[in-house]
Amino acid sequence: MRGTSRESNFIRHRVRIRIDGYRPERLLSRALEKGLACRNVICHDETEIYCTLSMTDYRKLKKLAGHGYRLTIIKEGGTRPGLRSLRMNKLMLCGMMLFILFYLLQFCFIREISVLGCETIPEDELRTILREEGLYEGCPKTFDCERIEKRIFDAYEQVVWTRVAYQGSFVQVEVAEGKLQQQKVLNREKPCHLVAEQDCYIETVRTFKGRAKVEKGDFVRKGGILISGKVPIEHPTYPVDEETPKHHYVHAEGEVTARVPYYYSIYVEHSATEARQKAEIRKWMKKNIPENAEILNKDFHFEAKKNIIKLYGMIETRQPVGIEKEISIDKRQSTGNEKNAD
Amino acid sequence: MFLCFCICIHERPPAYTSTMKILNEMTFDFDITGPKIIASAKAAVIDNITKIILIGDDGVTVDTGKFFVTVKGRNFIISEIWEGRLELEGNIEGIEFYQAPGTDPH
Repeated sequence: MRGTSRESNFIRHRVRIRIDGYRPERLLSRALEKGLACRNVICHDETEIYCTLSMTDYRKLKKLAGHGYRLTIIKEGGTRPGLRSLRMNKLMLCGMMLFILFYLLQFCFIREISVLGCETIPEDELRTILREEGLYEGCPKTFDCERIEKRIFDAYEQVVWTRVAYQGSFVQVEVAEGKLQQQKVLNREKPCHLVAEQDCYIETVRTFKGRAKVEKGDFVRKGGILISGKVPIEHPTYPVDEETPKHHYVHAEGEVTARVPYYYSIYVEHSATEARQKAEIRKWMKKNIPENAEILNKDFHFEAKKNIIKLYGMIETRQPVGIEKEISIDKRQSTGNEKNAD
Repeated sequence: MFLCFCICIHERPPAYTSTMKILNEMTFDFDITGPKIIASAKAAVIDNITKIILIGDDGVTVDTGKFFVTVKGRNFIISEIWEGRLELEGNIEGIEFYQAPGTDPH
């Protein structure tokens, strides 16, 4: 208790003094008897020593010294003299207040905006949208993150996930883009094939127009024909010339369901929690797997490397497959050989 | 190298000190009558001092009641004197004990 008081006395107000007189150590002995704490005692010569005391102890020592010793304050320190000198220097006080004010004010404004994940969306365009929503460098923190996220979703079809978050005066805008759905052939009269957009295992095939090229259990590579738009003319009841084409072309239509395996490999920071890892996988799934896909199997592995964690595995889905691929027919060839336009 | 040693001067016969038991050690630790010194090459702490006899540039002499203790060396700064304890910093070259005049340690 007493130790704390001594320490606080030193912090509050301490003085560096010079003691002049015959055998100054005698005065120190008396101070020791009275329980006064002396610090940093340096002997200059036989009649002069320097030491540091708290202000309260200095007053007591002065009484002890009487007329035998001369005590001179060389330097003062501690919070009390510091505050006193501050009070004396009003201009500096104002300066410090202004500095603190500016320092605190800078936290009320946005200093930096970082945009991540833009692949096809031009960053300038996105920043214009942010500016329209009141988010720009130097703006006050009055913007609505959710509203900005919604605006980004509305503005771009390919955006599958977005996040606007700020920490201090730094804003991070993250965007995840998906694949734009390919424009279907509008002209339903034009001949086309139905081809697989990904490697898949066929489950069901329902053909409305054209001729099915695959059946249940078949493995089809990306681009392989599922329903062909080239239909052969079989056993005509009328006589045909040899030159007459033996097939005709239709706009292939049908419903094909298949099991599609997706292989993923994501890298996350070493410090990422399990929840963060799952969030990363969900983000990947949202970006790469269509909404109407039914997830059949999930396979999850992680491999801790030096400063990074590798998440990898396979997700199997059941989903409708097949995109239309136009058939371009070269009419100059008598046999009706077609050439697919890639 | 930091060499630290503690010297306790007490009233027990020397035979006891050679086979110091825990109880004895505790008795010595709480002994407030004799001088105690913890010293290294650069610092020394003297406990149970009653008076400062001499402060010089090459040595500090203190009275512990029964003994005078002199720490010799150079560039001494007394970092603190308070409640019978003196903390000393500097280049320590030697420590001396001698009986205070008019006292019998035994």
